[in-house]
Amino acid sequence: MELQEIISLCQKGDRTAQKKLFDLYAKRMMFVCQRYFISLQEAEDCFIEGFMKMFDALSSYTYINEKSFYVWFRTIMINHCINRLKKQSKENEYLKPRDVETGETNINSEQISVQSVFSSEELLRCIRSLPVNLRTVFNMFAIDGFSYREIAVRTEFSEAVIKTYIYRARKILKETLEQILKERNEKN
Amino acid sequence: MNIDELFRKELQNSESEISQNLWQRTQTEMDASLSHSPKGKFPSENVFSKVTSLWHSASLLTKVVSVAIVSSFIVAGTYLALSDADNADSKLQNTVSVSDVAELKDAELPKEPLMADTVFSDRKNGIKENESNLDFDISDEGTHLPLLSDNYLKDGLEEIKNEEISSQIEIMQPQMKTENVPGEAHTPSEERMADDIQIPNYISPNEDGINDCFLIKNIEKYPDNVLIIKNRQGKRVYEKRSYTGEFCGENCPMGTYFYVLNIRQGKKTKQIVGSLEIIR
Repeated sequence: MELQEIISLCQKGDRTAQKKLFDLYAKRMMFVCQRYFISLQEAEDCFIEGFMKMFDALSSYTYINEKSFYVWFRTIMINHCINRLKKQSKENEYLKPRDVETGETNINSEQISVQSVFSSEELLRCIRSLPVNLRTVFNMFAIDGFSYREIAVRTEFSEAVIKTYIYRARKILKETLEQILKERNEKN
Repeated sequence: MNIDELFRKELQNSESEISQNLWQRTQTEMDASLSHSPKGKFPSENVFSKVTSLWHSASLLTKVVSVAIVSSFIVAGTYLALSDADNADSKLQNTVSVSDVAELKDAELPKEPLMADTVFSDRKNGIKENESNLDFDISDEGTHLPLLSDNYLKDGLEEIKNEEISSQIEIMQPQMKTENVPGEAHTPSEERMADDIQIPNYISPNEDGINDCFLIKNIEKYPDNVLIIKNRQGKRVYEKRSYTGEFCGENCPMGTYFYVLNIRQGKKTKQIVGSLEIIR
């Protein structure tokens, strides 16, 4: 069945079509949630809520092509992840800028050369090892392509803080990747 | 290669395994949200428009019968039926034709058909309210009179006695002060209760022996109490049942906090709220 057909059926509220759409995108969306949330429980909750948001918004969606639908859906999911984190930050102490010195913004210094190939699981593990603030900002900036300004609006950090976070995240990620390489060499 | 690029290329469209029951859970969540959506709500406006359209299309007999049934309930209740003077002519016609029907059917639909073109009005909003309910209203007022007797005066005297204490209450209840002072006469029991309690508005937990702990004066007289302290984000930082002065600002950075103290004595309860400054 064509995606367009599935979407138009979903707009009418067809349950089997919704299931098909779910099967098509669930794995990719789950990966997005797992990038933002460490605990599986939270990731799954966020995932379900994101899907419901998408089904709600689908009635006003006009189909262009498969790529655009995927981007549209992923944007909903990412926005929901960020909103959820933001909500948590109000309840808990997440996502509050603490002890940040905004001096170290030497961003381009982390252009390291990585010859080896990393699997997506390894990279996901690296990202999930970051503390929550760094992880969120790095996810938004590096992978989901937000600009500094957008991140500043969404997270209410200042841009200087965000630049520092990204710099630190890169530093930690570089170290973790080097460690993974070292472990590989030891195995061989 | 740039680290950002490496991650973006690998992770932007990656997939991860999902647990088996995830679709099941999504489905149930969706069902649950459907039943709460506006579409699923009781369509009150639709019901009224439907009823009116049904009413217009209904035959005279059904109208009469339904009105007779409804009016028998309403008249028995607290409503007055007023005849609609403007439609006097049509009323006449209706009653005539109804009596025809009644004859044909051999049914006993006697005086009720008169209700066919009547307007029902609530007694409270009706035009005739003042005439019919005049003496009833007076008796209603009269029931309030006993309240103004002895007790009321006694409370007033006590109020004068406790003038000093009421100033303490003002300190204890900075937020409630403006609201409660005018209404004090109506809720004397609550104001009077536990009025010997004194709560400081700042503590300085630096172990110098002065104001180190959040000590509430006379709290030990009211063991049935609950103290909750929240920070400015609304997060609970301390909670204690039958508090006697244990809170010394543990794990609390300097700043403003808010406390809610609930005291119960017998059947009376009293809530004291206020702010608490922690200075280190």
